[in-house]
Formats: sequence, C-alpha cells, structure tokens
Amino acid sequence: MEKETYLTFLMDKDLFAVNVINVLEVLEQQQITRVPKAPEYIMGITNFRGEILPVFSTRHKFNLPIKEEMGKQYVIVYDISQGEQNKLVSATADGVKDVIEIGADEIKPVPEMGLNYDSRFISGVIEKNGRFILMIKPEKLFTTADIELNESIISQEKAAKQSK
Amino acid sequence: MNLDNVLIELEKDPHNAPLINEAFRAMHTIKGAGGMYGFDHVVEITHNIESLFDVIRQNKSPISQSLIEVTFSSADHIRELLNDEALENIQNITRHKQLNNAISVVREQITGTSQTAEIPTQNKIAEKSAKLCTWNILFYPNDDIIRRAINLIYTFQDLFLLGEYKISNTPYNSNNEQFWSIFLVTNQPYDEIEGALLFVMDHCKITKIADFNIFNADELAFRNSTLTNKMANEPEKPHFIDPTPKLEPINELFEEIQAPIIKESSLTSPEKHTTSRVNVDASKLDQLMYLVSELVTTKSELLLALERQNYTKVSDAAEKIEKLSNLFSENALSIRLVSLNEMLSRFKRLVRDLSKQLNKSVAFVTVGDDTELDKNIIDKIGEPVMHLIRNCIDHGIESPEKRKSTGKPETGSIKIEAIKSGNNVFLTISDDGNGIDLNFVRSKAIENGFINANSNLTEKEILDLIFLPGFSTAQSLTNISGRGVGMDIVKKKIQEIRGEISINTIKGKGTSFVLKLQQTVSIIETLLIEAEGQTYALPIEDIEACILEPTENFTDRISRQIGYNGQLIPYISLRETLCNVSRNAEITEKIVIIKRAGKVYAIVVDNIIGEYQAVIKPLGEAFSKLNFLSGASLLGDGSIALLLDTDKLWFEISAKSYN
Repeated sequence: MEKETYLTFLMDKDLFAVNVINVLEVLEQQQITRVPKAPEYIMGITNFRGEILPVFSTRHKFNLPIKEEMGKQYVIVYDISQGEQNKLVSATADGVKDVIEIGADEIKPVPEMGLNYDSRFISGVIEKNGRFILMIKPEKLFTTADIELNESIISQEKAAKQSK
Repeated sequence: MNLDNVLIELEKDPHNAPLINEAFRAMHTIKGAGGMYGFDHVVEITHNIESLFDVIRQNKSPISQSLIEVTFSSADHIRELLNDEALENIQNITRHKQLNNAISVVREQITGTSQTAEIPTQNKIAEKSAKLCTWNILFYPNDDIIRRAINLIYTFQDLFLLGEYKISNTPYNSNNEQFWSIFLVTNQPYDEIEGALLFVMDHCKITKIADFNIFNADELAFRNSTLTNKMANEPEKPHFIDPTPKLEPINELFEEIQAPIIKESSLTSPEKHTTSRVNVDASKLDQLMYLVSELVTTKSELLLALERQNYTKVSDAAEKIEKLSNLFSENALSIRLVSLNEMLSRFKRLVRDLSKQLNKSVAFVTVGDDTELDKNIIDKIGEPVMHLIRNCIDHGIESPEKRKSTGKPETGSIKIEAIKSGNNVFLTISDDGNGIDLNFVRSKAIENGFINANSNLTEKEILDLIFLPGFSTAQSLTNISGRGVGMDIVKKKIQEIRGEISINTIKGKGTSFVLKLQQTVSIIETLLIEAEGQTYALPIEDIEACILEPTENFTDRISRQIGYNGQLIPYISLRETLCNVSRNAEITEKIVIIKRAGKVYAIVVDNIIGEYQAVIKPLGEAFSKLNFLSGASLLGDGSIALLLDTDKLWFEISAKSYN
C-alpha cells in the first residue's frame, strides 16, 4: 500500500495533518506586518524569500478562542498552487509536531456529526496512538473566496436597499 | 507585415499587386509551417485560400470584398485551430465546413467555374501537350530550408502541378554538396516555375534544356542526335549526360528530407510557444555586461576591505554598489520597455471589423507608435484601450449619412496618439464623432439614482459619472458596447497600473480619452512615513509638500479641513482612519500634502522617515478588498512597507464627507 507523508501540527489541543506536498517551509520567529483594515482572519503579511505572503490566522479560521498572549507561534508556508497558477500562502500554528507516513487505507471519512470544525476544510480523519488527527485541505482553508462570496451578497443587499 | 494588416491595406487598394503577393506568401508560409507541424486542417484552409490568391495573382484581377472577408475569417479560424489541432470542437467543425463552402463560392466568383478544392493531378495538365518544353532544375537543399520552416512537399507539389516530372538524385557533386536534379516537362513559361519555387529559389538553378518532351520516347529518339549535340555544347551540366538517370518515387524523396524535420519538431516542447519574448537593443545588453563586471570588481573590493577591517574602504564600496544598483535597475527597466507598435497594429483589425459590423466608415490613425512602455503595462492596457476604441466606434462616430448631413467627411477617424513626458506616457484615444451629451449623461444618472436631481455638478464631474459601475447611456443594447459594464472596469484596470484616465469632449466635434501611464510600475520613488508603528510608502510623484502644522490649527475637526496656501483642503489622519486611534500630537502634526489627478489633500502622519526607492510587490488576492493599498515593498531590514494608493485615500475622504 502506497504511503504518503504528512506534517502534523497543533492547534489548541487538537492535532491536524497536512500533506507535505502542500508544505514549503515551517518558519519560527517570523516577523508579521499587520495590515490595517484587513479581515480578522488575516494576521498580516510576511516576507518569505523576498516574496510577500499573506499570513492567515488559523485560530480564526477554525473558530478557536483568541488569546491576547498566544505564546510562540509558528508560521507554515503552504504551496496551494493549482494547475499553472502558482500560489503561496502562510498560516499560523500553535505547535509543529512531526512528519508521519499515512497509508490511504488508514484515512477514515469525516464524521458528519460531532466535529468542532467546518467539514469543508477537512478531508479525512486518522487515528494514531489513540489520538485523532484531522487532515486539512489547505487550498480550501486558506483562501478568501468563500468570504468574498458572502461579502458580495451583503453588498448586493445593501445596493438593493439603497435603490429603494 | 502581418496578414491582417496586408488585408486591411488591400481592402483600400484592391489592385496592389505587391500586396496580393504578400498575402499569397503569408498564406504559403502558414501552409508550409502548418504542414510541417501536422496541422492538417490549417493546411487545408490555407491551401484553398492560397489557390484563390494565386488565381488573382495570375489574372491580375483586383481582390474582391468577398475574398477579403473569407480570408479574414480563415485567419481567425486558423488561430482557433492552433488550439484545436484535431478539429474536435463542434464550433470549429461547423466553421470549418462553412469556410470551405464560402471559399468555393468565392472561387466560383473569381474563376467563373466551379472547381473542386482538390489539387489537380499532374496528368491533367500534362495532357495538354502544346508547346511542351523540358526544364532541368538543380535543387541544393541545406539547413537554411529547415530553419525557415519551408515545407518542401508543398513547394514541389506546386511545381509538379505544372507538368510531368522525373527526379534523379545525384547525392554529391564535385563540391561535396548534396543536390537533386529534377526534369520537368511543361507548357508553362519560366515565370511559373520560378513562382512555384519562390521560397527555395536561392537553392535552385533552373535551365531550359529542350523545347520538346524528353519523356516521350518517340520524340526523344527522333531528336536524339540534336540533343546530344546540344548537350555537348553545355558542359556545365554533366549530370544530364548520365544515360540512365536514376528515377526515384517522389514520396521516398520527401521521406528522406522530412525525417530530420519531424525529429526536430518532436523535440520542441509545447511550452516553448507560450513563452513571451522581448526584443532587446544590443547596446543595452552591452551596458548590462559592463555593469556586471563593475559589480564583480566592487564585490572583491568590499570583501578585501572587510578582511582588512578598513571601514573607509567598506563605505566607499557600499556607495559604489548603491550607484551600481541604480544603474542596474535603470538598465533592467529599459530592457523591459516594449514599443506600442505591436499592440496598435492589432487594433487596426479591430477597427476594421467593428466599423464593418456597424456600417460606419472609420479611418484609424496612430501617432507615436514607437513610444515605449513596460511590457507589463502594455499587456494590461490592451483590453481597456480596445474597449475605448469600441466605445468610440459604437457611440462616438456617427453613421456616414448623419456625418454628411452635419457637414463632416463621411469617413470618421479614430486616432491613437502616444506622447512620452518625463516618466509618464500619455495615450490619447480620440474620435471626431458626436461627442458626449452631458445633459443626457446627467439625466441618465438621475434616472438611475446615481445622483440627486438637484445636485450641482461640474462638467468634469458629470463625465466622471461614466466611470461608475453599472452606468450606461446606451439606449439599445448592442453587441459591441452598452451593457453597463465597461468604463468602470477600464478605469479600474488603468488604476491597477497606477495610471489615470480622463475624458474631454466637445459636443458634435468628438471625444478623447487621455490615459496617463507610468512608463514602468515595478520600481517607484517613494517617501516612507510612519503611523502607529507601521511604515507606509507614498509615491513621491504625488507629493506636493511636507509641512508641520500646529495642532491648534486643527480646530475644525468635523468638516476635516485645514488651510493650505490660503485655501481649505480636506485631510485624513492615518492613525485614525487606518488604526482607529484618536490621539493628537502634542504641539505640531506632521502633514504630507498630496496632489494627485488635480485633487489636493493632506495626510496626517506620525513620522516622516525619508525617501526610498521601492520595488513594488503585489499584495495578492487576500487583500483585494483593501483599495487604499496598492502594494508592498521590502525594506532594507527585511520588514515591509505598505504602499498607499493616493487615489483611493482621496475616495475615502470624499466618501466620509458626503455621509
């Protein structure tokens, strides 16, 4: 059975896994420049090898509690290129654990109930040493597309009201 | 000259023989290259068109409008076929059929008879044996033929249409060059042979060897003695004396010639076609090499100075490197500059098609098409400029009847003028049409709720309404413009490359759109400022002055105006607007006065850091909603400065003051 390599990281108390194909680098002590008026799920921007990347706040994306002092934060650089389009983004993580090998048969489907997280971002669940690890889809999680859709609906409603 | 432009010229001057030849050659080249890479359907279409042009060429008849139309459609079809090589797309299949039908209709018009598109076999022609002559063609192929992508199959098919032929292959002559000897019996004159071999004439020697058919055995025997005598007098063609020329089937010959070509085409990767290329002046490359050598020398100086801990030398070297980096960026930018020429020539076709479609007569004039702009900008303005041209033709230029009745020449004109001024390029797109009816725009805007019925707007403000999203004055929706999308997108695209757009119009006389573009966008001179601990950059070009203003002068905090040069101008405080911090400086506020697109306003900042040459990087789609930022730049210490968009900041102010 073909195995694939995954990077696991910690958010609050839960473990997540992401395919290393999508991970470019894990950064510590990364300087993040805040961008005024940016959506709150975007921490800011960062300089990664001379390129400017947005830094997503994974806590916001997962609806986890936001603490004033978050302690040491890691920044994971994701390569979510699709097709010809090159796309790099980065996102925070509370801790980075290890790199594990997972066979396709170990991955269980996402349970319909009892999941604290938006199931659109989760591609499957695995059990390792008695702990559940949620496998994320970075290309779904770290985008602004769904948010923009909502905003465009809101602005359409606003426009409709104004025209009345 | 490209085919489109040739056809446009031909339309004006249908008798122009050199142009007809040009079109014919263009078709021939497309056919050759198409055949070489296996685009069979392209070959089919181009062959049919080419044969039409050939008839025109021979009869010296003028080009008909229908032929031009069908050629234009074919050219478009060929462009489509490049992505649909196997002709699988339903649309393309239908169009392919339609085109072939259209071509045969045109052929009937031209020749007066209905012919099949098929190439007549050599026998048909050879049957007409009146005044047959025998020609010998020596053909020396070399690498050049492959380099020029000439497909020999078509070249020789054309030749063999002329008559009966035999080929003898004598591999090497005395100079160790490979050559082929072709005997052709034909009743056509020399010109025809030369015409068929047009593209390989450099590699051919054509000689008339007999004024009868040497393949005809009876005739040959009859004339044998004469011929031998004749050959004895022409010693420079010794190969002919070869009593039994080795005859080879034509296909075998081509297999041999084609083999290396096929190999080559399979080596070229498909990506190769998509990489864009820039032509660079050789002197710029020389300068680049010079700079590189200077940099290498300075680097060694720096390393040596560091080793010896000689800090005076280190700072000398650093200074030198700074100068060099300026020269490098200038050089790199100049390499990226591309002339407008190519883009403008594409528009010729657009103007022609649109004016046809709308039954208007339009002349297209370009001035200053050798003006250069950054390649990125050229790529970005194509679409907006095209849209403006559409608007000019659709809304601006009147119908010929109407123009006549108002005393204007029947042919309207659209002019694109490019002028370089400092670091800017002004691109003016103007028409001599009807102009924009300001009252009509105003009433439309009131009707659609964009403005109040009693709002008092200046002429310029009314014209700016056109750029509002969803605004359209078109009474009927046409295929070309007037669907209410457009001008706002044009403005947005122009602003994306930090350009400006303005409209001038005189009712009854015409309209002009002026685009003010920066020659390059990737590196700009900025002023670094600070607000709430974050560094921002402002384009120096937009800065009028930096001043200190006593805090007590900000008395009128509700209308947010301050006095500057004896007039009241609005101001925006970065820490309040961007960071929601309301705090006043103790004694004086630092203020940057911005002058952009005729608007003057002030920005209150915490600190003014200094000038900085910023390499602008895009922020990406995650921040696409943040209009007031147009990019970011890395600073020397690795931190990031955000580039403020001076247009959008103004919008922020005006939006506030209206609410």
